[in-house]
Amino acid sequence: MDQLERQIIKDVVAGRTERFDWIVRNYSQRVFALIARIVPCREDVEELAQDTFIKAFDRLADFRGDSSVATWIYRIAYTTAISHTRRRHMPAVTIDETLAADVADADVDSLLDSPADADREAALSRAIERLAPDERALITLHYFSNLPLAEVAQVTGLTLSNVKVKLMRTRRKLYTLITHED
Amino acid sequence: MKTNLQNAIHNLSSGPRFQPAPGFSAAVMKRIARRARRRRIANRVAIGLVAAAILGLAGYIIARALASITMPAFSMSVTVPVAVIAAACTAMMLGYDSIINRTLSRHNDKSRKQKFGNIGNFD
Repeated sequence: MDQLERQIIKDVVAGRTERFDWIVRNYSQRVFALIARIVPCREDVEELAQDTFIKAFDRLADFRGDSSVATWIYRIAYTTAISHTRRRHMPAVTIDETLAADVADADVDSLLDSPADADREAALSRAIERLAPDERALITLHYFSNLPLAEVAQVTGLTLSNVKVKLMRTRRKLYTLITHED
Repeated sequence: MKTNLQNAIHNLSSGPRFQPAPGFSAAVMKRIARRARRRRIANRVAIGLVAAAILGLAGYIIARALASITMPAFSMSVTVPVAVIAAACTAMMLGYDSIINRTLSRHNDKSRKQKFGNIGNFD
């Protein structure tokens, strides 16, 4: 946590509420992008993003600074959005586990990690949209927000090994969805 | 160089659906200001109640002691009203202070609004 963030948190906790505006402006874009990846409805995203910052404001006095402010706010946004999807029972595409289990890691790597090409990118975008909300959140945090796996674990509340396993399964699922698209 | 997956997730997450609306932070700050004000009032009420309870108890003890010295026969008829009056006075003073503060802050907001137009975080 940098000096400015520390000072802002101290000011807000001391009663200078208007200083919280800096936190909202600084993180709203990233919080919005994460929630929008998990929740499809634009109005819900707006509402949940607002709730995230209200919760952050309410809990600011308890923030110990063990993690960065970004990780802490991401965690609040993630839990807020995931709880919303659980309440709404949002459907997700399930695939045959045996299909995904038979996929070789080298094939997954060559499809997902090869230099960008337009056709594959379009197929990949469609496949990402069909993932479960928590899987979409996982790849958003790692590949869009560029969080290291240890921080992804902090945000999602999973263990590091669990994050690695889930990420590997999600990558295999993406591969299966693309190759069995038709 | 970006990979397929990085590019796809990046393109998917940078459309207009993923951008907050222009008034987003103003809306959040408005809710936060309202929340902070409510929290301040709740704190004041809690402090008022605790202070009233402490002073009421102190009033009760003092009045009871005085009554036992001066008028032993009327001890209960004196102590209970004294305690109630002490507690009520404290609560009224704290409540009055809170009402004055709220009125002043509303008045300030109103005159600022008249002076500068509808800007800032007004409820």
